[in-house]
Amino acid sequence: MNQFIPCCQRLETFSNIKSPFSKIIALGFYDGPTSGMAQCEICSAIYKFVMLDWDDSQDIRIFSLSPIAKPAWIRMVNLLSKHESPKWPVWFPKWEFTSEAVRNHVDSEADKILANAGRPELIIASNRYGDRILAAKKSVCEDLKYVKDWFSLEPSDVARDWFSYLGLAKHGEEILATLE
Amino acid sequence: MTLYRFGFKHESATELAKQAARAESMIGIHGVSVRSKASFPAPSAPRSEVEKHFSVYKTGKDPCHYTIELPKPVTDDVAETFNNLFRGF
Repeated sequence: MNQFIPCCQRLETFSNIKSPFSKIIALGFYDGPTSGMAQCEICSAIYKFVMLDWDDSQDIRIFSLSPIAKPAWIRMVNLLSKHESPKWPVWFPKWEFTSEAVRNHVDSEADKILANAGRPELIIASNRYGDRILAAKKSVCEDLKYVKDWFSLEPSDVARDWFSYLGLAKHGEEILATLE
Repeated sequence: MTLYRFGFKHESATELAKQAARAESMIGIHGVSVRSKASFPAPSAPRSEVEKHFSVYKTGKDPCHYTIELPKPVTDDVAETFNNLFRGF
């Protein structure tokens, strides 16, 4: 398996490659990250990510990546580190606090930090824990109306086929086989 | 409260153990994810029924995310109980 690590700025050029996102804060989680923040190991760029879709076994996940200023990462790590120690490469904060008031404060501060993210610039497919990037494509304005957290989708929403968008088969057993 | 476990396929003891081990390394709970809300059809079980067999913990920022603690090791019997709860097989 290719262990070359590309910068996040060049992900479009590759497929099924080691992820440059060596630190992930999973604020949403379902047997693996579903939303949060990620840091590129190569250029230190920070992104807010949101899961747009996944395959039936949740092994392949499609994410939108929106750039966010580097200080936002430090603010988030500092905010959460007061309550539990970071665990890398994937930090899934347990979100246990001493009181409801503290929980509400941390919730609110975390949301404020995430609100600083720009528009989604990249759509990627990754494996469950985000250590392999299967495909990537820069997003354009017309994609934005379809970018929505999978968990907040309603059956009436017009959803894009993000797997086709990235040239992947949603039920691609051959893709899964390469992840073993 | 209803808990939803996404995916309609049978989950083997090996698959459940793999996810549970990853969760344990991150949050200290040997378990798998469920949610209390699903916009699309998903296997489900009442929390009260799940808690007759497994402990359930609120975990993570997402107000709908819970972790079901699985025993170690995850045996075929454990997987069968889990699948029976959510999928009826």
